[in-house]
Amino acid sequence: MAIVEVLVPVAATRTTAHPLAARPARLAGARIGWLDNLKANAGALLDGIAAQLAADAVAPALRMTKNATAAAPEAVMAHLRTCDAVVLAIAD
Amino acid sequence: MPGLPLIPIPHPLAGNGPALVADKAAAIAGEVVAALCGDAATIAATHAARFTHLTERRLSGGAVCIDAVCAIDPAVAQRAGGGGR
Amino acid sequence: MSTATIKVDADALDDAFEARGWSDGLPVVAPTRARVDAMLRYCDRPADAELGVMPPRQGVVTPEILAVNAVMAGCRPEYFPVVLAAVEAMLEPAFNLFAVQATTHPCAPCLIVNGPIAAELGINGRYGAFGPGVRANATIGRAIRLILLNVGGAAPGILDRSTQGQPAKYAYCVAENEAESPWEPLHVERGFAPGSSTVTLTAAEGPHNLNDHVSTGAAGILATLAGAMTDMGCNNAYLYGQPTIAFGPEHAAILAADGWGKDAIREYVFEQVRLPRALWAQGGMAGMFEDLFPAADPVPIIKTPADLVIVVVGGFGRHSCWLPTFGDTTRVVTRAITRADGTPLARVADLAG
Repeated sequence: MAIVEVLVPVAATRTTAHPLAARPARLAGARIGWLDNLKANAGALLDGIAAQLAADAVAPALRMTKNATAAAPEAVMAHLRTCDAVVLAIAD
Repeated sequence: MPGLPLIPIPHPLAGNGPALVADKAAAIAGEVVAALCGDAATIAATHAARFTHLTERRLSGGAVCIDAVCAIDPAVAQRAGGGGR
Repeated sequence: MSTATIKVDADALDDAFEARGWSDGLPVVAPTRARVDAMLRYCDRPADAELGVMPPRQGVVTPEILAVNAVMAGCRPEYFPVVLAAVEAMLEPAFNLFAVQATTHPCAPCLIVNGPIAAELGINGRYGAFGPGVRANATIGRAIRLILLNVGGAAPGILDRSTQGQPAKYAYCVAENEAESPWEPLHVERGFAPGSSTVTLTAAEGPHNLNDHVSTGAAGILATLAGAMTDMGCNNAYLYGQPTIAFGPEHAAILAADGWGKDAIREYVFEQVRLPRALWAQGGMAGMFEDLFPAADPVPIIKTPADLVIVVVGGFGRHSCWLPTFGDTTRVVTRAITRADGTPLARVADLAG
């Protein structure tokens, strides 16, 4: 049996950690932003989650959309910054 | 981005009917709440390695789905069972 | 950072690589130290220089790890500068490699090589250029796929979520047939010097045929391409982007003879390749990107004429093709083939000293 020594073709990985934004202690009373990327059923999924959370989140929610092919524009981000937490749905 | 709370649902989504989408939403609602409130560092730690194993997964089992529960909407599958005309 | 090594039974190399998920399914050339070093003779950067990280796995890109995969693909060492330039092009943010790798769409990075290096390496731009038979096309294209798999982690069904994939995900590399083109070559159009060599990357579906066997004038050829490209099943119909038309030299000659330059063809495609909105709205990705398509009726497949890429590829015969793309989430990127200091490389042979 001939043994050959070969180089491994799989690269090392390097990821960059970013600290998460501070969260509210509880969801009760929090204002939640819902960001829909407009792919099919992303909005319906958000609706379903929002319905589950309705009892907790008593503040009026903010619903925004973004194009799935690009980052949310600054105007959308500015609105979302007024929220305590944001949920983005990314559909297939 | 390690630590970003990404909460997966079974693929696909686009072809699902309203009932299945609602079920998928209900199934992750608790995880969404957990990701939205509380200590950020704890949340990041919880999610830090959640998908790492996927990046190292080998293909020895063939091309496999990310999630064993991924499936066509059963309502669609049932209708497709007849095979059409 | 030095690349790890393993010892395997030479007679069972392919099984060992397949078991570890390191192959594209085809047999590979053993990436021995000697072969990798021979590949790196055609690179004037340090073997461990970090060129970036490749998504979605965030693999660290170095000349050495690229060379390992190029050896596995069967590249001759002199092909390596093209592989390196193509990877650098894919890592430019405009290319959006993360999305290209992970999408359910079947796009694959297509390499279009321009300039004298294409002839030096024998990259086929004539008969059957998109097909098999020429080592440079086959192995440079395959090296890119192995890199996307092993460095970028785009294993099908895992981090590459393409619903069906496509054959061009094995290898997708051609040269432009500049000698038989009546027009300015692609790289010159894109601002590079005529004597320079470049590689242009576009995230594309496989070639879709444009067959016109009967037209003796431009009108018929244009009608044929308009009929074929008015395609509700392509992403461009809903996401714009930069599709490519690769004209066969006969079609290109007829168009040029009738006075059609590239800009006129672009205007024609922008105006004539349009889907009636009532049809467009029945399926596809209707309603998902309304901000891109505010009120157009009929709906064009490109946002602006300048977004259409035009090249000449192929031998004689009455076929051309077009390459629909992933959409405007990825942009076409051209990269000069250069030395490490950015000096254009006249010949790859100059690198080997």
